[in-house]
Amino acid sequence: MRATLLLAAVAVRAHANPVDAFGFGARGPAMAGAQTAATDDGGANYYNPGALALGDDIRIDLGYQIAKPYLKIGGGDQGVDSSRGLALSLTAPGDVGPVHLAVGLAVFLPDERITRTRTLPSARPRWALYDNRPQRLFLASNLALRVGDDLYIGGGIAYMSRTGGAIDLEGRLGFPDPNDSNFTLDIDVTLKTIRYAQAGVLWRAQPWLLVGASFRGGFVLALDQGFRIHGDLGPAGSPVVKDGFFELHSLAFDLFQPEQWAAGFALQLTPRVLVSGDVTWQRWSAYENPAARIQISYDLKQLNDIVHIVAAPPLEKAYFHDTFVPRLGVEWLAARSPHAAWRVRAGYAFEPTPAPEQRGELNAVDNDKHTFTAGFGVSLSDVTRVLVHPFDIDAYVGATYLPPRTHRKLSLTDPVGDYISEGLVLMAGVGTRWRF
Amino acid sequence: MAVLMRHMWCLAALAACGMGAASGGGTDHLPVSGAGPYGDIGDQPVVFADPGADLTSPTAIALEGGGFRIWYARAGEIWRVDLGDGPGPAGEPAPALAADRAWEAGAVGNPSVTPAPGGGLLMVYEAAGQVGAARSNDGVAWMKDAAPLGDGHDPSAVYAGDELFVYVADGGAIRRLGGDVVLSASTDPLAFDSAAVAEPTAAFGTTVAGRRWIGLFYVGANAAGRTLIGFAGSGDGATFTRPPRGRPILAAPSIVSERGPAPVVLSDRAYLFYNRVKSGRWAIAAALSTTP
Repeated sequence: MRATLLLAAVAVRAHANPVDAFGFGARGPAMAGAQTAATDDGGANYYNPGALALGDDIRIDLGYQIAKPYLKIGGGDQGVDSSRGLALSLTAPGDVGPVHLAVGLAVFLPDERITRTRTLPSARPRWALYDNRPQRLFLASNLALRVGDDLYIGGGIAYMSRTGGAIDLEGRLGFPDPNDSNFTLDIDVTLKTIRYAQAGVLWRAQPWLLVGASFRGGFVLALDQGFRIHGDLGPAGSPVVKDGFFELHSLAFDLFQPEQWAAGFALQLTPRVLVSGDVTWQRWSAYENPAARIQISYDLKQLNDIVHIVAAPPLEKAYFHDTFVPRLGVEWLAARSPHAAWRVRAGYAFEPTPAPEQRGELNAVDNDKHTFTAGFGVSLSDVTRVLVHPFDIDAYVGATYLPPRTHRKLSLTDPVGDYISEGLVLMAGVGTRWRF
Repeated sequence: MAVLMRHMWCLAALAACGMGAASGGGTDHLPVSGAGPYGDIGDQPVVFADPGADLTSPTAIALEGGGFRIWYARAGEIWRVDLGDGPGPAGEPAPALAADRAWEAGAVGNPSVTPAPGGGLLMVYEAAGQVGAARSNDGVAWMKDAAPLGDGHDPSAVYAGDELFVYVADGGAIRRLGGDVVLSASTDPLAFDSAAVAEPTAAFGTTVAGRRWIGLFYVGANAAGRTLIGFAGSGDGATFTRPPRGRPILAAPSIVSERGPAPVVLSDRAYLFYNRVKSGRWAIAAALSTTP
């Protein structure tokens, strides 16, 4: 007899990346991420690659960002890990004949871990968008070019890796004495690069108006692992089971990132006031039940009649839905002198949750999010003989408020029961911009 | 009196460790409903034993300031003992209720204690196949009702607001005292409770969504006679449903039988006291709700 079972409800993935969650650089997050048409620094590598071609200087942006969640399910703080790390970007413009172009590279390098993936039981409550979401490396490279005088187009790829592997044991399992076993071991694990596209376009419609659009591809990290033991069971020469096998295949998913389309504007209201706005469509409906699938196959010959592995029920659907995320930012040139220009920034974003109320066994918890940000920047000119071009220092703080949300379980025998989710995420960052 | 063996244990500390927690942040202080699953606390699940007697049918409440008071049946009487919530000593066991009425026929047992809405405690107990009731302001001195409440075995009482629910075991099923059957043996021949259900213990709570919740912990027996603890839930106290897969809520080694569930459901965690055999005697063990 050969039995094949599909087990589920074992593991849960989390989503996206720290830049999706908290922004990139110091200027963008200060304006709540309303940057599709307003980005003018290394953040263009994320917000709109087309904007990389805006400048003529070689630019290096270096900063540090931190976000600390205080999130509660059922009144207790889950101790969700903070996200903090180095934000570094490089923009190198140049001309090839009549074409003005720029290449850009951006990396967010977490200083606690490069990437975390973990699998949790599907019924265990977790903050679906904050669990592993901020715990990964972000790496992107882009190319942008200027078309005519007013149009900028860019695109590139972002990188991650996936793992796939198998462990094979071939030989004889000693029974009843396991020390009598005789196996050969074969381990085959592969790290494969995954690339997903991003692109953007920026159009200077008027001297005082920029409009833009950008695209970021979806992503999911597959953790594909297998274990197989094949051979005999029992003493050498007289095995109880001859030529049997037991095979377990696990496929888990992690770090889901929805496909995103963003459109925005940057309006120079007055010589001192810039207003920017974005709307981003996020394809969360592609998010499937985050539980891993484990497939078990075995053939234990005459022992098949007494070995019975109960199959788990089908996975519950996640029922996430697409969202539109509006963002609004403002930048005010507060003061200017021959050697310094001071800017004050603020922003607001509303991110409706893609997750439904968690009424079944799955507990992928998320709430609506109201994000308020503020920051400042100072651009210094002619400070030293080394830095001929302006040198910028930017900083921001922000808070994301997750209002209470009640989750009522369909079953009165649910092991978790009804609960309320709520929380706050505090953010801060500082950045420097160097032009050469 | 026989020498009592008592294991000191630190429930609070173990609960703080977050049984079932994963590595990394994000899974601390997760809510549990009390419906299980439960896991034994450490490698010494028995927290109270008496080499000279079986200690059966525990019922427990949480004490203000920490710890638990447990009543149990011992040699035809009902006793109580306080268990600590920390490394300090527990209280000495003492008799709580003895048979002194003619209808009790010389023995009382199977106690169930629940807080009463006006303050104080209500105990229901079994004597000669009937259900008696006693009331107390301090959990030490008890005043019995004049007459039994009705017929039944293994009674359990719980107040849902001002409404009193009393459940009893009757012929392999559980019914409300003087009422209809609310839970029968499972129709699944492979289920742990395919042969009979008995020893009900009810718990009441209101969820954060304001929903009334009555849980029924019970002992299920299969055809081989092995007994394990199960759970069913209800919104009205009249119709109970099992969890989707109907498994026992406390996974014991295959040679162990469990009896006498005594849950203590708190806001952030739940304990389950129960009976298991130690050195040939029924003793009182403890388990802690685990994150699914």
